Amino acid sequence: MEQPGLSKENKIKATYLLHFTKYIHWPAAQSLVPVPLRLCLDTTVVFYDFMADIITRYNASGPHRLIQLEQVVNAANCELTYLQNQVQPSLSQLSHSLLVVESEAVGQPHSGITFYTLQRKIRFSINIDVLAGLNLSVSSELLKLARIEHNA
Amino acid sequence: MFFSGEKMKLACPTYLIISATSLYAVMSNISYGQSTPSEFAKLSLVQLFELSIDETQVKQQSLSPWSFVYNVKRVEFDGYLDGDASLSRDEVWWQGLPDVRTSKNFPIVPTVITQQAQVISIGYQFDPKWRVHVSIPYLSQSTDHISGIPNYTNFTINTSGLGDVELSASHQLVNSAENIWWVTAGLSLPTGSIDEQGDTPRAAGDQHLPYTMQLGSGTYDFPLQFSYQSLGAHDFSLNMSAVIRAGKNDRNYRLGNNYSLAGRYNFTLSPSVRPFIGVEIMHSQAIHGRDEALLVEAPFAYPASITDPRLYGGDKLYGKVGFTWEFTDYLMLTVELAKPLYQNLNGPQPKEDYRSALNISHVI
Repeated sequence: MEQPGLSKENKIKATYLLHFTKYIHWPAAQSLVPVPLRLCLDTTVVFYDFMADIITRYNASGPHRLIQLEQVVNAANCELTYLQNQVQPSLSQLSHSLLVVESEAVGQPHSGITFYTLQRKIRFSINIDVLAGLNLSVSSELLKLARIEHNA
Repeated sequence: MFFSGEKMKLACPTYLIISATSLYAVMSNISYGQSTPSEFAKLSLVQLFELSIDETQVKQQSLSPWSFVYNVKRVEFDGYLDGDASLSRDEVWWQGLPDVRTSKNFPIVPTVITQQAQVISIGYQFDPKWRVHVSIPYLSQSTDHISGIPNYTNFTINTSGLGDVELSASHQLVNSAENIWWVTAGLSLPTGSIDEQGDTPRAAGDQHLPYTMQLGSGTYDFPLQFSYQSLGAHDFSLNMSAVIRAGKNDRNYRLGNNYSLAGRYNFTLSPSVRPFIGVEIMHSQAIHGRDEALLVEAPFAYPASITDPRLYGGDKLYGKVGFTWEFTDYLMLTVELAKPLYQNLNGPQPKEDYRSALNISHVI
């Protein structure tokens, strides 16, 4: 179903989030049963609904690791978090989460991926040091498309 | 929406084959507008990277279900194989007594065969799951010969004209976030000539030309293709295709069926340029029946290998390299070079040296 309230720019960013789950490898969970990857959002409702629709379709297309979508405020733990606004860095559910921010204007400390716009297209930067600190490995295919950054 | 595949299948006359499934192949990377979560979820990472945030671009792309492809393919044959063993020209060329004439040497020997096809294809997308295509090929062929016959020691024969027009329809079988499956079925119409003539050593003036120099199959043929495109972390595609021929044409023969399995892996050099490598294995059958006009009244009725319908078909394994370049939002260039890595032919048969393809696709 079409989401008329969401801009194309945000639809593209939502789709990038899905791809990040494919091109970034999280360490295996210490569990005997498959554990979904928890994607947490702090966004508008219409963005959340669009993301939920994408995730539902993706999960139904398996077999692959399932994604569990949650609101940041309700989540106990998040592997991947997308923020449209700055949140308290001390939130415990974000302590081991890869933070993706909507733009540099969000100003969230310790963000690993930041979207920006260049020539009317969505681009993103990856802070290699942040991802290394989270023990995450990134596909070279994703790195080729990213602007690589390091901690200052 | 996007769908992917790769195939550039050949069709006719006997060596160079252009089929409607080629349109599917070329159009595989043509993009259309996205709006729904489902459509966005099917975008590959690279396709997503190329999307503009302009809302107007979506509307503009979504308006036109038409697409257009111009494709040029070329194939060259040089040398001979019997099975997978190379034959020298002297082994194939019967130069008169005291040489012993057999069914595997000939008084007339094609040396270099070049075939080129220019194909214009138009596609129309009814909805995200259905599209139809029409492909119109124009063929140009040239064959150099040697023989021991006076005035024909070295001669070249050329033919050109309309090939077999193909109509086809593609249906999306599976469309998930991980992969896409399409099936394409078509009908090849016998619009290409099978009555081409030229000056050969068989007699004075023009005579009917061998199968390789004809422009069509002369039969109604049925191209089929199954295509798989991965949308995961690795960008690769698989294609299984066949050209099934039915009945016999007006000259009492039909070309052999063709079957192929191809795989292609795309790399990301930049957001708009994607090199690829691929392999393809192809099996083709010999010609069924024979054209009586090609025979001579002699103990050995076939004056050249290309007049013997049994000396067609075989197995080939190709290695391929190429790239796609999306140089605007509406135009994409694809260049491909294929080299046979292994050939096992019903020989003696001309050995394929290489084939190349260039196409430009455009969403109207």
